[in-house]
This record gives sequence, structure tokens and C-alpha cells, in this order.
Amino acid sequence: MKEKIIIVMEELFYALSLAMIVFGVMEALKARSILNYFNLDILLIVWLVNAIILLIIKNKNIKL
Amino acid sequence: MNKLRLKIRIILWSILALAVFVFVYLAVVPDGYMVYENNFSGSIWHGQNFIEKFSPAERVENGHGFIKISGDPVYFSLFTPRKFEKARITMTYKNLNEAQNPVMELGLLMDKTVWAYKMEPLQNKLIENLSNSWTKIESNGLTFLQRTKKYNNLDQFLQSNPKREDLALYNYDLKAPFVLSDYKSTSSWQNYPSLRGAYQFYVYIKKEDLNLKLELARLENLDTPDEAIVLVSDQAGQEVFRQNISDSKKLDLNLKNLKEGTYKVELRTGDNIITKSLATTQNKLVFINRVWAMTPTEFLADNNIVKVRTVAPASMGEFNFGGEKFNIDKTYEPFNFNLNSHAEFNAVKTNHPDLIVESNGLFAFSEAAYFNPDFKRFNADLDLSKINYVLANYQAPTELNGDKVVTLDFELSNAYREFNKNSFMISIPGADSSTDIIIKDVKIQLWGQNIIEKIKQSL
Repeated sequence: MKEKIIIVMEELFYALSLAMIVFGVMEALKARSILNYFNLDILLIVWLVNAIILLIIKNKNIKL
Repeated sequence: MNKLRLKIRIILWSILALAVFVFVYLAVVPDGYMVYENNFSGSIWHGQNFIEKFSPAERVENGHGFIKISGDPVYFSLFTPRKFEKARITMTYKNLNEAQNPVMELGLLMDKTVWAYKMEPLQNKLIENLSNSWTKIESNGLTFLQRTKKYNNLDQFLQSNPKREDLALYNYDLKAPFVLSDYKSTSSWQNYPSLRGAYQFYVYIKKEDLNLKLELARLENLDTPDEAIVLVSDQAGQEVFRQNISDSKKLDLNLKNLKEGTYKVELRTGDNIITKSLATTQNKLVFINRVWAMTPTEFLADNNIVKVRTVAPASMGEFNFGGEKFNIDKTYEPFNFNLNSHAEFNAVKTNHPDLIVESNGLFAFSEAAYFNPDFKRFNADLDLSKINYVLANYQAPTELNGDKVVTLDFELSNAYREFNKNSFMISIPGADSSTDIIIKDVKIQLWGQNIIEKIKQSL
């Protein structure tokens, strides 16, 4: 079960990282194409929380 | 790769691809139609609004789901990812003190050099009140009001060639030729005082050339654009002359073979440009709405209300209007001076240079130079006892759950656009901290070329 959660969290981390890169590039190419619809701060917070949880779980996993 | 991992990856990356597609679609607007709305909820989940914050901050109080306006004017910008040609703005608001602020207008910035806005009425309680006491006829979107019923319809009135002094117009231009029957031209040159910034004036031409000499200079202490364009248009609004004098800073104009009538001469420039010398052979010349003289001077206003302000501390002090003394004791603040006089002209005397004198009427530098080719404009300053008819392009706002709802159309094609933004202004004459106007929602529908039309045009 723990392994599955780690897989989900890892994939979520990759997807959120990719989303930040893609949205960042889109913003750079066309200003406010993302920011006008969606607050990228939220994405950054979700990415950060996801990364922290992933680290904690993985850390515990190693100890086990 | 683990099957579970693959499944999750496909799902998440598909969501991301879909999100990218949606954002690209919203940025391109391929069908050429888009709606943006600001209900002032201020949710953190939303991004920056397309309808940006109302400003200046000291004239706007932000609430949850509304803003309260406490000053005049208030500005906002509309950010659009691409160009549109037409905007339909629907504004939902509450005016809790209509007696104090009977007039509300919304304007679209057309020209930044002279800060020209195309104004449309949000509400004009003065017309609504007059509609209740005068005879009202509505025709082709126009409201025609008569003090006493004389005409059965608008066409009958227009065909009767109404006297200019009897009629006031609101948000409508009536194309009727203006003729000065007893006009005689002269060939002598008249000099005018040194003026600052942009200005407009009317001249009358009859079997004569339009002669105009002007020389500009630049104030060094301001960092605004140097552009200076001289425009001459006839009474139908057709341009007959245009020249950019930004570099030469001089103009020696001689326009021949002009038809008899009124011509409007405009200098479109910034506040850092001074007209050092202005001379013309036209003996009928009136300045429109504003005189910003750089020397103490005297002239006449055809209005009993003027607004005076200055940006220079040295210009503060005594100001004479209609024989009365007034005091200008603050910079940047407009002072409204209202006379109880019903005289045809009120003398204006600026004892200091660099004073901006504005009114809803015209200014002349002598009684002989005065003429008024315009119809009277319906506004709060208008003396209703002097008119018998009002012709207005105005629809009163509709009521919805106790709120007022107004829908206005604007052409964006020729509007001023900078950094992908169009600028709007809400004008509420007399608005101050006691003003009780709440804006609850602004919805903007936009129409433009669809992607196929755009591709065809670029090909």
C-alpha cells in the first residue's frame, strides 16, 4: 500500500513540476495567458506540500 | 514500467495537456468572442482579473463583492490577450444618493495625448426627472423632450429647423450647418497669449483663407512625450489638414478654397509643450472648454461656472471671475467657481501664469471674436429656463433586485491600446467622500475577428 502511495505521490510531483515549467514558459511567451485565469502561487504551494509529503514518506520507507 | 505508474502518468499528463489546450484556446480566442467579468469577490483561487483594479485607490473603497466610489474620476483597465473590435459593457450598481450625483458616465480612452474619452451615459437622473415633467417622445433610440407639446414626432421637429438656443443635446450630435449671416472677414493678424498643452478652437471661414502661425517650445522639467499634431476639421467632422510638428515645432498654415462654415483647429500634444506664439487672421475664434495661459491674461467665458486648477505653487493666489474675487490656495485641486449671474459673458482674469481654466462652454478673447457653433449641451450647469427642447441619446438603467443595470456599447477599433489594455473612466461629477455609489459587477462582452478571418487577413 505504502509503495502505491509513493508511486502516486511521485507521479503527482512529476506532473506538478512539468505543469510549473509549462505554465512558466507559456507566461514567458504570452504574458498573463495563465495568470489571468489561475493563481500560480496555488500550484507552487501544492507542489511544495506534495514534495514535503513525498520526502517524509520516502524517509520513513528507508527506515523500515 | 509499473502498470500503476503508467496509468497515473497518462491520467495526470492528459489533465495537464488539456489544461494547456484550454489556456491556449483562451489566449487565442479562436471564435472571436469572449466575456470577462469582475464581481469584486477577490478570491485567491482566481488569477489576476481581466478587468483590473479600479483606481486611484483613494477614490475607491474595496468591499467583498462590491466597490464604493468616493471621488471623480475613477479609472480601470481591461486586459485582453488579443485585439477585439467591439465591447458591450454591462454594469450593475447602486446609486444611493441620486440627488447628489445625478450624472454617471463611462468613457473609453481614445487618444492618450489629449486624454480624450468617448463618453456614454450610465445614468442621467436630470434627463429622467425632466422626462416626468416635459412631454417625452422616443424615436430610433433617441429621447425627445418638449417643454410644451408642439411637435407630434421627432422628424417633424427636425424638419422645422429648430433654433439653436432653444435646444440642448445630450450624448448626441445633430448635424446641422451653422451660418453666421452678418460675418465679415478681415486680413489683420490677431495674436493670442502663450498657451500650454493641448487645445482646440473654432474659427469661422467665409470667402477667406485659414491662416495660422504657431511656434512651440518644450518645458524641460516634464518627462512626457513631445508629439505635437495640428488638425483642422470642418463642421461635418471631416479632416481637412493634419501635420505632425513634433520636430519642427513650427507651423505656417495657409488653407485656401475652404467652404463657408466653422472649422475646428486642434493641437494634440502633451502638457510639456508650450505654444510660444499663436496668430491667425480669423476674427471669429473661440477656445473649446479650456484655456491654459502661460501669462496673466483676460478673456470671456460664456458659462457662469468655471473650474480652475494649477500645477504650479507660484500660480496660486487671486483669481477673478465675473467681477468677483476667488482664491486658489492649493495645487492640483480643482476649484469650482459658480456665479449667480445669467450674463451672456463672464470676464475671466488670471492674475498668475500657468492657470488651467475649464468650463463646459467656450472662451473668447473679445466679445467680437465670440461665436458659438455648438448646440447647447445638456449637463448639470445648463440653465433649463433658456431651452424648450432636449434631444438625448439616452436609455435609463433597468432595475434588477434593487440594483441598476446598464449596458453600453463601445467601438474598440480606434480606441487607444497600450500593453494589451484598453482604459476606461467612470465620471461622476461632484463625487466625494459622501458619495454613495456602489459597483457590484462589471461584465464585458467582446467581439472581434475569428481565427479564420485573422488568417485570411494576414495572407
